[in-house]
Amino acid sequence: MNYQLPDDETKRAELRELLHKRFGITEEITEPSPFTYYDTFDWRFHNRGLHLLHLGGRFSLLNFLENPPIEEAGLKANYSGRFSWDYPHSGFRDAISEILDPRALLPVFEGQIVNTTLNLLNKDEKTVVRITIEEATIRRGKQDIPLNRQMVLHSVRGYDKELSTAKKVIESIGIEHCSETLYEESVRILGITPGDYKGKVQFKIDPKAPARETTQEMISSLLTVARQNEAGTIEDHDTEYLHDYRVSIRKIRSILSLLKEVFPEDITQELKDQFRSLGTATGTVRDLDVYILSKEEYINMVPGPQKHGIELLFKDLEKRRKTECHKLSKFLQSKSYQNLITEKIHFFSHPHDEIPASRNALKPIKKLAFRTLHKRYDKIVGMGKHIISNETEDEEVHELRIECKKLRYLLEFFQSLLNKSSVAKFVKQLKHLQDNLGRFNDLCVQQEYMNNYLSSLSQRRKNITEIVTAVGTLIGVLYKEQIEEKAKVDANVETFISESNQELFTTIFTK
Amino acid sequence: MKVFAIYAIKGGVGKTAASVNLAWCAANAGYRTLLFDLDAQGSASYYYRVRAKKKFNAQKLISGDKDIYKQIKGSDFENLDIIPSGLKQRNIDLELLNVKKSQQRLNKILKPLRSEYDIILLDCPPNLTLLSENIFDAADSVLTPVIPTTLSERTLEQLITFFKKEDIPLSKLRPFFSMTQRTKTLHKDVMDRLLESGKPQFFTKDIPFLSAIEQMGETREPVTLSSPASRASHAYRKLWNEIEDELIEE
Repeated sequence: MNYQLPDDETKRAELRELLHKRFGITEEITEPSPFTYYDTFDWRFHNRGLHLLHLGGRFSLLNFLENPPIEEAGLKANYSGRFSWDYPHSGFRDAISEILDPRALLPVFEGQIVNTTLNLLNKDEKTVVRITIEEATIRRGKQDIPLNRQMVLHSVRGYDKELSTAKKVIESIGIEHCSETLYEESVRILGITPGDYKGKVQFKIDPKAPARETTQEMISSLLTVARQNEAGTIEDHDTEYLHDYRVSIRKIRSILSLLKEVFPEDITQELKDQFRSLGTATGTVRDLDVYILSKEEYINMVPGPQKHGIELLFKDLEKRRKTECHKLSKFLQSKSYQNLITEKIHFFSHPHDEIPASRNALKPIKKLAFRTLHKRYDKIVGMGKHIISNETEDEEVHELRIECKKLRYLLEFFQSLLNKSSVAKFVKQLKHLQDNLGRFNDLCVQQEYMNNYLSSLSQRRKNITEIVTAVGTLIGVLYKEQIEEKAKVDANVETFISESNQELFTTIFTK
Repeated sequence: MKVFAIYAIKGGVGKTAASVNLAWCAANAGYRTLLFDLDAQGSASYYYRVRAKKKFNAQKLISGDKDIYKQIKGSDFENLDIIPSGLKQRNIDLELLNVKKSQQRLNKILKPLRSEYDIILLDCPPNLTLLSENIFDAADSVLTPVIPTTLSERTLEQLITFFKKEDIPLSKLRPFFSMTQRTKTLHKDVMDRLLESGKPQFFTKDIPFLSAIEQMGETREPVTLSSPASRASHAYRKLWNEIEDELIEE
C-alpha cells in the first residue's frame, strides 16, 4: 500500500484536512538517517529477490518481491566489514555468508531518509492506522537528488475498516499508488541496471552461421566479461574479479584451440600465445587466493601444536599476495596490456575478409561443434579405457582432467544447440568425474607448491623449525588424500565411459 | 510460548494494573505478547483504548475454531496485541458449561496462537468458577497479586486448598505482593512470614501502593509508559525482570 505523495503543498494540506475529519492525528518525525544499499558485483542479493539495506547504522535483509518490501525477521547486524567473515557468528552472518562468500559487499547507492509517521486515532484516541511518509535523497557524485515522497499505509490488527476508510480518503483526491519502490526509483535515476553483470555467458548460437563469425562473437562476449572485471581486480575488492577474468581468458583459449582451422594456423597460434600470456600474468595471484581462501581447512589438517606453523605459512602467503597483487594491478594498467586488449576487442568485433578462409571458417558452426564434441568425447573414452585396464600414472590422470575440462566447456558453449535435459544429465556425470580428477590435481599441485615454498625459505629465517615441521606434516596429509582420491579414479572413469552413459551422450545431439 | 494468568479470588487487589503493565514490559522486552482480557469489566481493554467487537459470540469462541483471530486487536505498541473484553464476554462461563472436557477448553482455544506469540497474559475475572479452572489448566503459571493483610492470607489459603483438591501442581501458583505499604507493621509482618514459608513461592519484588497506579484510569496508559521514571513503573519492571528470569529463561 504505497502511495506517491504529491509535491503540491495544497494537495497535502487537503489530504490532512480530509483525514482529520475522520480521525484524530498525531505526528512523529525521525531524525534524518543515512542509508546504503549493498550488493555484490554479480548482484547475488538482487538475483535472489533480496536487498541488503544499511539504515541508521544497522543492516536488514529485505525481500523486495513483496511490495512494500518485507524484512526477513531477526536478521539484523551492525556494519563490520565487506566480507561475511568480518561479522560475528549470528543468524545474519549465516544468511549473508550463504549468498556472499567469497565476494565483498559493495555499495549500490546511498542517501538519506526522513520518516514522518502520522498516527490516525479513533474516538478513544487509539491508533487505528499508521501512515509513514518517506522523504529520501540519494547521492550522485557530490549531489543529493530528492526522490518522490512515498506514503506507506500500515494496518493495525483488528482495524481493517479504518484502514479502508483511510484508503478511500487518500484515493478520493486522486493520490495514486507508487509505481516504483525507493530502490527502483534510485537505480533508474542513477542509471544502474541491477543484475546486468553475468559472469557466465550464455551464447545464443545460430546453427547455420559460419564458424568464424560465431567464434568471433563468442570471444567478443568473453572479452567483455574479462574487461568488466579489470577494475575490481585492480582495486582488489575481492578474489572473484580475477577469477572471472581468468575463466573468460581460459574459455577464449579453449575456443581458439578446440575449434580448429577457423583462422589460418599462424593467426590462431599468435592469438593463443597472446591469451596464454594473460593467463600466466594473472596466475600467481589466483594460486595464492585459492590457498588463502581455504586457510581454515589447512590449519585443520595438522594437529594442535603445529597449527601455529601453518599460520606462519599463511602470513608469508598473504605477504606474497600483497606484492603480487601490486604487480598485477600495474600490469593491468600498463600501456602494453591496454593496447593488447583493445586490439583484441577490435579484432574480434570486426569481420576479416582480408584473412583467407581457412578450412572451417565458413562451415556452419553446428556442424563444426558437433564434430568437435564427438572427437573430444571419443578421446576421453579411449583414455578412460586405458586407465581402467592399466596401472595408472599420475600424468594420465592429469591429461584426462584436461580433456574433461575441454568437453565441459564445449557443452557449455553450445548448449543452445543441444538437447537440454540430456546435457543436464550428462554434465552431472561429467561433473562428478571432474570433481574427483580436480581434487586429485589440486592435491598434487599443492604438495609441489608447499615443497617449493620450503626450499625457498632462508635457513636463517625466524621460527624455521616450526614452519618446516608444520608444512612437512601438511604435505604428508595432502599426499595421503591424494592417494585416496586416486583410488576413486578407476571406478569413476568406469561409470563415466559405461555403455549407458555413451548412449546418453548420443542423445544430447537429438534436439 | 508461555501463558501467564494474572488471577485473584478477590477483586480490587491490583490485578488489572499488573496485567496492563506486565504486558507492556513483556512487549517492550521484545516478546511477541498477547494480553487476553477475560474480565467482563474490560478494564485492561479500557487502559489500552481497545473495545471489544459489538458482535461477540461466546459460543463461537468457545467452539474453538479460528474465531479467536477475529478478536485480536493491535495495541499502539510494537509486539503487543490485545483481545478486548466487554459485557458480552460475561457469557463465556455459561457457554463453557455446554462443552465436553470443559476444564481444558481455554487451552484448546489458545492453541492456534502458539506460533504467533511468545507470551500470552490472561487478565482473569475474580471468583472461583469453571472459567478459573480453565485458566489454571491453560496457564504455565498463575501470578496472583496478594495484599499483605490477614484477610488476603486467608483467601490465598482458599486458593491453595482449591489447587490441592483439583490436583493442580502448587508450583504453578506464583503470588506477588501488591499494594504494599511498608510503613504498616502488619504488611511487613505478613510479607516476612509468607516469603519465609516458601509455600507457595512468592516473587521477592512487590508492587507498592502508589497513586500513579490509581491514576492509570485517567491517562489510559500503562504507568511504565506514561511515567517511566516513576516508582510505580520501576516496581513493575523489577517484578517483570524476576518473572522473566524465573519463568521464561529456563
